[in-house]
Amino acid sequence: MNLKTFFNFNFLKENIRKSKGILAFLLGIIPVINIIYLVVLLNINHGTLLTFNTLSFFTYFGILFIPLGLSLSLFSFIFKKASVDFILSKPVNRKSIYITNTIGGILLILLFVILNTFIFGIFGLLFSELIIPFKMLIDYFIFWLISYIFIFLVLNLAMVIAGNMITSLVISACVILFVPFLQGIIYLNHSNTNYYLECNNEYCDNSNYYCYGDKDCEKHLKNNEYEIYPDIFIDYHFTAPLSIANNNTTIYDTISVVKMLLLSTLYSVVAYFIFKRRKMENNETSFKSSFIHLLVKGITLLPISFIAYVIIKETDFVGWLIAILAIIVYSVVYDLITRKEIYKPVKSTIVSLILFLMFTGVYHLNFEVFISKEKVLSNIDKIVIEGMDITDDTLKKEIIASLISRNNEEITSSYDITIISNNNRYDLDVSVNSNIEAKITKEYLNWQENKIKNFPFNETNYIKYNDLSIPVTSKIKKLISDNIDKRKDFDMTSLNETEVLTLYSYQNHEYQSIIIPIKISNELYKEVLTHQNEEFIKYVEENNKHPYYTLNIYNSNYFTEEDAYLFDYVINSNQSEFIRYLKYDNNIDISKESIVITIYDINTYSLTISDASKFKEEFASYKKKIENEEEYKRLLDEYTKMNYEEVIIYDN
Amino acid sequence: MIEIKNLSKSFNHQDYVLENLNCTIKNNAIYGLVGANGAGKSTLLRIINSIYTADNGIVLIDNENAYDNELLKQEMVFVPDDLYFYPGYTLMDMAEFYKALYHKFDMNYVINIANTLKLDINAKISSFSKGMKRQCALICALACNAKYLFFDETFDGLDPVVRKFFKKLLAEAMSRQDTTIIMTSHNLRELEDICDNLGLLYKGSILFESDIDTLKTNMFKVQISLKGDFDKKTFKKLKLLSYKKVGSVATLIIDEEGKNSKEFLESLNPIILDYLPLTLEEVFIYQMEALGYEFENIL
Repeated sequence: MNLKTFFNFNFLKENIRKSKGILAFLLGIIPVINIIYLVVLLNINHGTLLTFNTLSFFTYFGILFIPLGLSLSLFSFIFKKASVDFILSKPVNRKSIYITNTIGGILLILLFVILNTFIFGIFGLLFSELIIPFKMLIDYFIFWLISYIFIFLVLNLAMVIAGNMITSLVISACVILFVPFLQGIIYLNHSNTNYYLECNNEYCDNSNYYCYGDKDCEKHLKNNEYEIYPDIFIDYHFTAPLSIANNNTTIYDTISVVKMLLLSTLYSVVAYFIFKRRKMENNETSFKSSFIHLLVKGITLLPISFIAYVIIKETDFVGWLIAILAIIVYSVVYDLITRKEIYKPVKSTIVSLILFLMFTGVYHLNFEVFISKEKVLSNIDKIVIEGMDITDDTLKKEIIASLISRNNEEITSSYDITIISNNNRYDLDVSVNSNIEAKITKEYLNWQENKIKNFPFNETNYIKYNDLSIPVTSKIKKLISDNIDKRKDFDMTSLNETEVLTLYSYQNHEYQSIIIPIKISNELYKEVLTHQNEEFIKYVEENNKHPYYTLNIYNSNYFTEEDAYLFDYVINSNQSEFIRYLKYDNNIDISKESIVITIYDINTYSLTISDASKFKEEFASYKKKIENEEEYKRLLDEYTKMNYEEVIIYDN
Repeated sequence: MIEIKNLSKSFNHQDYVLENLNCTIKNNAIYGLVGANGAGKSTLLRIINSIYTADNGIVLIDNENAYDNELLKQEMVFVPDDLYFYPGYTLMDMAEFYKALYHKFDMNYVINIANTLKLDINAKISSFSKGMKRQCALICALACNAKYLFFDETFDGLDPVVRKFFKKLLAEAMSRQDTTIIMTSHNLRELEDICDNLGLLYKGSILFESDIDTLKTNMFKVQISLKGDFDKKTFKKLKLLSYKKVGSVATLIIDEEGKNSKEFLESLNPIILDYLPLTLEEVFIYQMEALGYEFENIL
């Protein structure tokens, strides 16, 4: 088989050449913006963990206009008689034109996605401040390649079906939005429903649950059903460009990717056969067939009719009048735009009005007649708190009981929870008492423990300590994996943010994170603090302005409140000595009492001074040097006065 | 050789632009396609060039189905009446486009002819006049060295000098290789000068085909005056395409169809008998009139 019969490289080359300006712009704009974005991130952050969504932000904006530009460059010739004559008379057959243009477009998209992936990869490699895991780059490449190709093929299909560009855009919108629109209608149906939770376990206490004469409430109460107000989520798995609306923490959705792959194959095959048989004389109008013109117009009436239905519901007769007028105007305007004529005005208007009435009827049935105004959640398959499945059945029952409890006196904490019932997701807030809170915490620790057991330490992408990114070196990774079992010696619930490390690893298209005590290894702790201090010194040295030093964590045996008040002025007045001290006299020794100094800027920079006793003497010498300075004296007076006023207020 | 068999095409499944059209065009000839507006000339050229698909019938070129035949299309170039150039393209850019697609494209030919015609090959075609644009299209078409050239309203917009120059180039192309040219034009005088054969397209089918010389020698305009009264019936033995009498002088358009009209007319002892040659335009008009096409209502 001769490959040239399918793919004509010269034809593609010429097609690209004729549109080189627009193609260069289309394919270059997003990579340029991405570079600027990464440079900005580098300048404002000292360690950024890029998520899939962050990485995709600007790529997402190109999802419509880049495939559209490509599709127009390659296929819009079919909309003009002169260009049809020009192209189709050339020694390239229709099969070859379609396949060459389609593969050419896909190759350009591939180039575009590779370029972006390469940019992210290079930035990730060159700048350790930007954490871009390789697995995420693969996800980015796959997801956006398939998404862009999907939209490109939808647009191609629309173009070969339609006779002009406006109509092709209408068809594209129909292809892309038809199913999501129907799903949206179903969602609205769900959100209009009153939800009740069945609670008949031994923990359910309705002694504080009152119906205040509400008959429905009383009826349900008899059956141990209590009204709840959840946010309802349906797993849509939308295809691009609506993938952003999927109910996931990341845009990446495997089911969406598979859907797009299958639909892309289907659309490209359908478009191929249509293109081969296309009546090329059918250009500059919507469709040759009047039926198809009316059918597509009918589909576009679906959302218009929905808006009209909402108006009618609120305004009765006037609403009907406005809606009918709007449909007539829309019908005429649609014909004028897509066919450049008022096409069979009587027939067209009648068909539009009949369809409008039909759709309105369907909406009415959907929202008013067939709708179950009540839904009782009796089968709770799963309860999820902050990503953790509750496995303890007793705790599950207690949480369900807490959802209906109106006893506010015992509440100590509240959580965002997700209930999965019959594959539907309901998000709720639950307020719990100390007993349940403790159980949730215990369950959470168990869950964390399991996560730690299964955590791929060798694939750690990011380590966070007190808002600081710690370089993920093989030494640190080894220190962690060698000492991870020592975590059991720590009470995780009592550790604050300066005592833990958060480890992130990109697995299954999302970051998995675990929290571990930093002091599982002295060497690890020393490594982390040394890095933290280096970052602090680097910031002070590179920063032109005077930073504001806050004596953040200190022991009052070594530093008084007066010291804390004067701290910034004293350090700034002795900055060079202070830096020298940090560089040469501040070896981390975790056995000694330490203090923490913090600078709050765009980012927070912390410094651990290892030996508080030694630094006390250093600080005293700084004070001595400037004790005769006017500003120092003024600050001292200010502090004394402030302290005096506080004492008076206190005494009073 | 181009063979068109039972070709039909309609744009609305009712009114056929081409209906059961049959035609054979021999190689190494210039075939002029004439017909009234809407007769289907351009549609026929578009079907031959696989731009439109026929509802029925087939176009065979060198005994191969011409539809979407990539190999055959290497030997076919179509210059439509409505010209198209890529936005911002120069003649050189267009030539490169053609070169990428036609194996036998001759870039030197483009440069030489453009120089002769004083066309700036690096100037944007969009800045050219209508005639210059047609020159560009014709140069590119001829440079393809294709065996079959299809020209729709070929010389539209060209000045007489350039027109003559291109006629010379067409003749050269025919002598260089067995080129067959099919051209349409409303200007029948133009076809008269250049075409070997002529086909008259009427109501979707070829009404008649003939070589130009036969066509012109078979039809005559005769001015005749007889002694005594006479009318159209007097000439019923002849095939009259048109009969007009002003005073005692009648003007007849006679289609000879192998008969010798002169012998018959002389036997009537005319006072005046003048045989005048017909221009192709007149042949076309009288043939059409004979078929009921009412020019008088238009003119």
